[in-house]
Amino acid sequence: MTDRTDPNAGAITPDEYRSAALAVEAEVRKMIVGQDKLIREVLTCLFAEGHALIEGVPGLGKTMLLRTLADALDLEFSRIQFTPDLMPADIVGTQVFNEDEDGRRRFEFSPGPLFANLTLADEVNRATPKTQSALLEAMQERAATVAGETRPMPRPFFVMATQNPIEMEGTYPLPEAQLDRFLLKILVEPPEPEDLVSILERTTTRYEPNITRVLDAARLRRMIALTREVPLAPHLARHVAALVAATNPQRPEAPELVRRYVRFGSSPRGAQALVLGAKVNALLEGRLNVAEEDVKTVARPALRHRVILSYEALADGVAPDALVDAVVSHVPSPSKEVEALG
Amino acid sequence: MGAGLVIWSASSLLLMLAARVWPLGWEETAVPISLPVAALGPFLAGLARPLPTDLVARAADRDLNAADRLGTAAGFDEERRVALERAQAMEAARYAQAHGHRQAAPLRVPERRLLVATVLALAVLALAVFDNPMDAVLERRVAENELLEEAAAEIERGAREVEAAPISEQEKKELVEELDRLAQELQDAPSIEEALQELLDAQRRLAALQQGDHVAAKTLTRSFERSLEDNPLAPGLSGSAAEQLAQLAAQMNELSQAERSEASERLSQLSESLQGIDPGLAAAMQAASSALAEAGDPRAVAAAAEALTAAQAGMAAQEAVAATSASLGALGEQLAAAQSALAQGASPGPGQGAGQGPGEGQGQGQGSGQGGQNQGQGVGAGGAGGTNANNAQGATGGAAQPDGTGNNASRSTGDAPVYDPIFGRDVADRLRVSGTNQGGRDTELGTQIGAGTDGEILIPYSFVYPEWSARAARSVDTLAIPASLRSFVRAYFRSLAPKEGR
Repeated sequence: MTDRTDPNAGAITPDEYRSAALAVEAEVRKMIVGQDKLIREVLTCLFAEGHALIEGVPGLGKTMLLRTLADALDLEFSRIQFTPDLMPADIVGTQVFNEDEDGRRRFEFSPGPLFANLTLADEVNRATPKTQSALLEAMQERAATVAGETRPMPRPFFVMATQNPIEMEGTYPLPEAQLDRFLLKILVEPPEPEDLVSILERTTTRYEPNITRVLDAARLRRMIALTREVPLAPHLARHVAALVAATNPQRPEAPELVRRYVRFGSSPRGAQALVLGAKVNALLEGRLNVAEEDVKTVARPALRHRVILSYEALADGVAPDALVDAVVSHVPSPSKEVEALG
Repeated sequence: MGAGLVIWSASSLLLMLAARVWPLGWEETAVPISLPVAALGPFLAGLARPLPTDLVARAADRDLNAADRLGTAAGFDEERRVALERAQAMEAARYAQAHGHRQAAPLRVPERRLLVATVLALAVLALAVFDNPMDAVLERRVAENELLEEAAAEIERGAREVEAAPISEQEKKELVEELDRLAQELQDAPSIEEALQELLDAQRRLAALQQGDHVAAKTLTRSFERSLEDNPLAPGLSGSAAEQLAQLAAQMNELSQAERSEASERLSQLSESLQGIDPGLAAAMQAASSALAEAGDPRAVAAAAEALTAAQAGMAAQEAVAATSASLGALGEQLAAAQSALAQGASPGPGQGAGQGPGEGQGQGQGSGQGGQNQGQGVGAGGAGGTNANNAQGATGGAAQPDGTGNNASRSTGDAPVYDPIFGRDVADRLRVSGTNQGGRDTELGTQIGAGTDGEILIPYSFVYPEWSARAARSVDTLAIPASLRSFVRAYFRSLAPKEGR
């Protein structure tokens, strides 16, 4: 396990940040083909120290992506395959009765797989709500309570969960409160035909990429710290707030589509996700400030799981992304404010 | 600047549209004058009130495609920046320095606003090119104002003439004040209608100053004066009536009974005529007549001389008031005629002429014509009984009306039947006489017979005969009358000489 008490010693420059991020991205691309956007969004969660919910049909490489990412990072990695019989203790850990060398018997805490820097929660919606709630506390508090004792998670701490949008039989869809804990909800799209050709070449031959660990925990913590230093202009902060407010159907500034199809809008966590995602995006684009385009880039993954659809929307087959797009196009761009200058 | 042009073009369009509903008159001047203001206004406003730095930085971000670099750098207090914010500010500064300030803050007009402003400006131009129905209203107002100015000037001239009139200072002051006030009211009057009302009010105030029938009184005294020119009250007397009365009082004891009786008779006749017109003067004359008849106190004759002098002075004042009132009435007629002409789109052309009737009548007339028809109007006063002709409208209380003629100012076409207002002595007695459209052709003077008034004959025949006879004798000597017929004319007038009992 990496050092949990690293005081974030030493600083990292934006250029080093970008180089490190691109290096990680390059390592992942050795294995994952044609999912640049997916990789970028996962890395966004990583550098913002947020959790990611990756949704896609089976076989698109969700688990492979996260395993490759773990290989590229010098972090403690664990994988939990969520099943209906998985218990909270199975992921958090439990007290076991041990006898030491001196013959003294006592309970000792045996940490579960969740106590890792990077946890892959595969098919998270197959676990029972009880187990999902244990995961919820760890994700939000970055700590777990076992036998009355709260134990902090190692830092950095990420949960990368996957879920399958089909095969809903015997699953426990994540409640809204649980969904809200994920910084981004990332959708995995099927690969393009030309990308599929590359995938075939890599997976049906003796091709075995050599994934190098290019980023350790200490450096990652400094990158996370630098992410939060990226300045966000006041007018863009106001724009983010307006976007989030417009997802709420009760707000006057909400577009008609939202009023019709949205039951509940985004929480303030949506705004936090927008800003943090935009900051990472800015640094990865080589900028030291957040731009309006950064906010737009992360609007869908940051808000799509925070917009709670109404029954009418489900009946009409309205996708959350369409609602987020409606909000983005409805809220006046900050650049409109300076149009009056001519 | 784009917003300024849009605002200018929109407000100009509204102004031009409003000018088609209300007669403004200044819109075509205001629109071009306001254009540079609208175009330069934003610049001047910018100089007076600089824009916030962060707003300008954001505009520069937009123009330089700087991805909010400059806006972010300007959005933080320099004192409170953390390390990355300082680096960002420096990076933004480098980015800005790599571009020119003209790129960062270009002078431009947004195309959409320019398009909107252009469309609106074209609409304004179209409205300026096409005729505005309110132009006629404005022209009429200008013409009305000119007329009112002229009328005010006319009244002021009248006031100066009154100052020179042989009346008392108090009466002068009242008249001049009235006329000056009226001139000012006419200048301030918003329309001819208002001006006419002011004129009417002024005439009513002047009418209140008039006492008795000064026209009749003056006519009587003048006729008496003229009868004395050829036939003094007594042999050896000369001068005016008052002077002859004064001389008579001094010489009364030297006159024969027959001479006193004749003078007494003439004064008695005058006294009878003055009954009901000037009772005081009538009484004085009757007292003098009695004194002469009975060889009484000469002071009664002297008192009659003083009474006559005082009455003649009062008549002058009354005459001034009446003349002023008459001139106001004539002015009102001109204004009314001009107003009528303006309302029908014709240019005003009031004419004025003086009418002279037979006998002792004096006329004052004015003419106006419309629609190609000439029409004369005259106001006559005094004179012996008769009828009015030539479209004359006379008005003299109790007195017969002479003929009146007026000079006519012809006007061009008018399709609709026209009606000229004709005023009587009192503007309140306003009449309208319909005219006939003659298709723009000039016609002869109208021959309409006006209504005459059979008034009481107030002047004794013996008063007027000598003047008529003398004038006829002079005319016979001067006119081209055949010599064989001159004796016939003289015989005719001799046959008209007053006799006892006629």
